[in-house]
Amino acid sequence: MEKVAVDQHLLELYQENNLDLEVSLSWVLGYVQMEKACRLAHLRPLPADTVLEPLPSGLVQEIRGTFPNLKLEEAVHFLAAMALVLGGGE
Amino acid sequence: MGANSNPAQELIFQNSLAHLDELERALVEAKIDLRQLGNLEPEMVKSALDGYDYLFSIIFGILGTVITSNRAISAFCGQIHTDSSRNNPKTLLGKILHHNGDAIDKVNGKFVNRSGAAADLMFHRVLYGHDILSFGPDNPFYVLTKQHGLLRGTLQVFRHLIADTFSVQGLPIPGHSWLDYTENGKTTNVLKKISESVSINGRQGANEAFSRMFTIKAQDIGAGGLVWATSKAYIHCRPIEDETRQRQFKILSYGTCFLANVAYGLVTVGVPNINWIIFQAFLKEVAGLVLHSNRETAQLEQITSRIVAENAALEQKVFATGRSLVSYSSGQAYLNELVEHEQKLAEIIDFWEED
Repeated sequence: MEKVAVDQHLLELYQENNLDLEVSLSWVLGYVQMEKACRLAHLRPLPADTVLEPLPSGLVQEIRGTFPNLKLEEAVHFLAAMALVLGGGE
Repeated sequence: MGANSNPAQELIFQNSLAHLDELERALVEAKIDLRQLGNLEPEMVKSALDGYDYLFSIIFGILGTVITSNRAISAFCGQIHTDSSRNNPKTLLGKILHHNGDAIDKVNGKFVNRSGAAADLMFHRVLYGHDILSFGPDNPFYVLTKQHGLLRGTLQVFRHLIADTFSVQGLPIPGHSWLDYTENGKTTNVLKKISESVSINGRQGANEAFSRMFTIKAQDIGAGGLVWATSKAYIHCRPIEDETRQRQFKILSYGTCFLANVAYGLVTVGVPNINWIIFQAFLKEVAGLVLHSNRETAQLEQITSRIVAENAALEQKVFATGRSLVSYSSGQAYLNELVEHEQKLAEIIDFWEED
C-alpha cells in the first residue's frame, strides 16, 4: 500500500455517497485513454486540506504509468473527481 | 326381465344398468346436481381460482415489486459489489465474490469492446466478456479459464458474474453479445442504442435505462425468490392440489410482480423496470399450463374415443336384437298384420270353443 494525499472535501463526498476511492479510481482508469492522458502536463493545484489515503501499490503504479507527466496527487485528485461525478462505478 | 327373454338381450340390459350406476356414482362424487344447472358454471370447477387466490397472488406480486424497487436493498447490494471489487475485500461476502483483476473486465488495464477498441463509458459489461452465450473469444469461460486455469477459471466465472448482479448497473442479460453491430467503424450494441434512445438525461440516463431494462440484479433474483416462496407456502397451506389452479395462481403472482415493476419504472423515471427473473418464471408457468392443458385434452380425447367406440358397439347390439322384427314400408302393412293376428287369434278361440 502507498499513502497518497487526497482532498479532504472530496473524500467526504465519497463517504456521503457510499463510494470506495480505490474501486472508483480503478474503474475510471479503465476508461482513460493513455495516449491522451500522457499529453496532460499539469492540472490545478491540490487544495490545502488533504488526507493521506492508503492505495494499493499496483493501482498507484498504474496511475503513474497513465499520467507520467503529472504529480501522483494531481492525477489521483483528477481521477477521483471524475469518478465521483460519473457515479463512482457501474 | 321376463323368463322367456333372449340371453343376449339380458346381457345388454345388465351392462346398461351397470353403466347407469357408474354414472350416478360419478355425479355424486363430483357433487353435481343435474337439476341445478348453475352448479355446472366455470367457477365451480376445481381448477378455478377463488377470491383468496386472487387477493394473495396480487399481494405476493406487489411484495416482489417492493423488494425490487427498494433503495436501501439496492445500496446494500452496491456495497457488496464494491467490496468484492477491491484489491483486498473486507467482508466475507466480498471475499467470496472477489473478482478484482479479472481479464473479462479489463484487457491490459483498459475496458475494451469485442473488437479490441476502447469501450464506451458506462457500458464495459455489455461490450466485452460478460456474456456466457458469446461465441467469440470474449466468452467468460474462455477468458477466465485461460487466465486462472480450468477449475479456478470456471469457478471465477460464477464468482464474477454473480458479483456483478450486485452492482448498481447489474449483469447484462445473456445473449447480449449477439446484438453487436458496427456504427461509424466502432463496435457497439443494440441494447446500448435502445437505452440511449429512451434516455431523457443524456449518458447517465442511458446508463440508468440500460440498468432498468436489460440487466439482471441480485435484487431481482431476491424478489423472484420471495414471490416463488410465498406462492409455494400459500399453495401448501390452503392446500391447493389441482395443478392447473397452482399454475394459474403462480402466473397471477409473477404477472402482477412483472407488470407492477414495469409500471413503477414508467411512473418514476419514464423507463420500464424489467425483471427478467420474474419474466422467466412467468413464461415457465405459462408453458407448464399449456403443456398440462394439452395433456388433459389428449386424455379427454382418448376417453371420448373410447366412449364413442363403446356406444357404437352398444348400438350394434341393440340393432341386432331387433333384426328378427319385420319392417314394413307403409302404415297399411302394419294394420294388415294386426288384422292377420286378430284372425289367427279368432281361429284359436274357435278351435277351443268347438272342443
